[in-house]
Amino acid sequence: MDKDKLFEQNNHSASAQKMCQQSSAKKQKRRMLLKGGAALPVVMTLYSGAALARTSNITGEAASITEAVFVNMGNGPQLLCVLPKEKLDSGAYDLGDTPGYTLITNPPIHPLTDDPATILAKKNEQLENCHMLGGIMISGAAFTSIAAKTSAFDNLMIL
Amino acid sequence: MRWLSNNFRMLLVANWNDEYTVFQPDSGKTHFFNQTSMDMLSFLSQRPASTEEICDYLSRQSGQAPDKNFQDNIEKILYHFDALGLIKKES
Repeated sequence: MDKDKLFEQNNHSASAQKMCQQSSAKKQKRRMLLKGGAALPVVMTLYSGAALARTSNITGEAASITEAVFVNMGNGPQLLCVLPKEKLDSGAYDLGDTPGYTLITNPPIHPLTDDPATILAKKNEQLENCHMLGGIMISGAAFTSIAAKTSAFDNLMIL
Repeated sequence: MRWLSNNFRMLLVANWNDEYTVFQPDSGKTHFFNQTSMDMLSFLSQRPASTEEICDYLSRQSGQAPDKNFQDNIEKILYHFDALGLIKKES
């Protein structure tokens, strides 16, 4: 092996080692950050298509009526009341492969004439009626996730 | 203003040597928490608390005196938690 080639090879080896060291230092820094060296909180969220890639339709009930999905078929907002297959030990609901649902029509909501407080009260009444049927309200995020991989919610117009 | 956790019992939490993956079923999102973030969320799952109370608690946990910078960071994370639907303001 001539001198130039040996130099080149050593040079490559040195730069590979340097890259490795830099990568290791980066990893170390990241570990420090994640471990909270300064006791600072760290939160990272996976925003990929993971939600859509779920193989089961498991969800929790929407946290509040303001997050629930309402459908307007031309006669005012109606609560999308999803009928779960079963409630899991974790408290989540399994909606099954093709979630069943019903639209709650009672009491009817008139967006043009009802004031906001009345609309909210009526939405809560619709929720009570949904619960009486054994159903749950779901959030927009859960709806989008489930609608993307089943045809259960096709042709619904979301308010 | 006081904060409290939102559907904490629904979260699926896995502990990876004091780092946590947290699956939030109602949004389908997965979060990564360090110990301090998990301490914050589990503290708020037990009772509502103000930002100052949370800072005091975390300072005691870590043995560090809270300063303005620390409190600002905690507040930012609280608003981030709120945006993710992990906590809510006490009504």
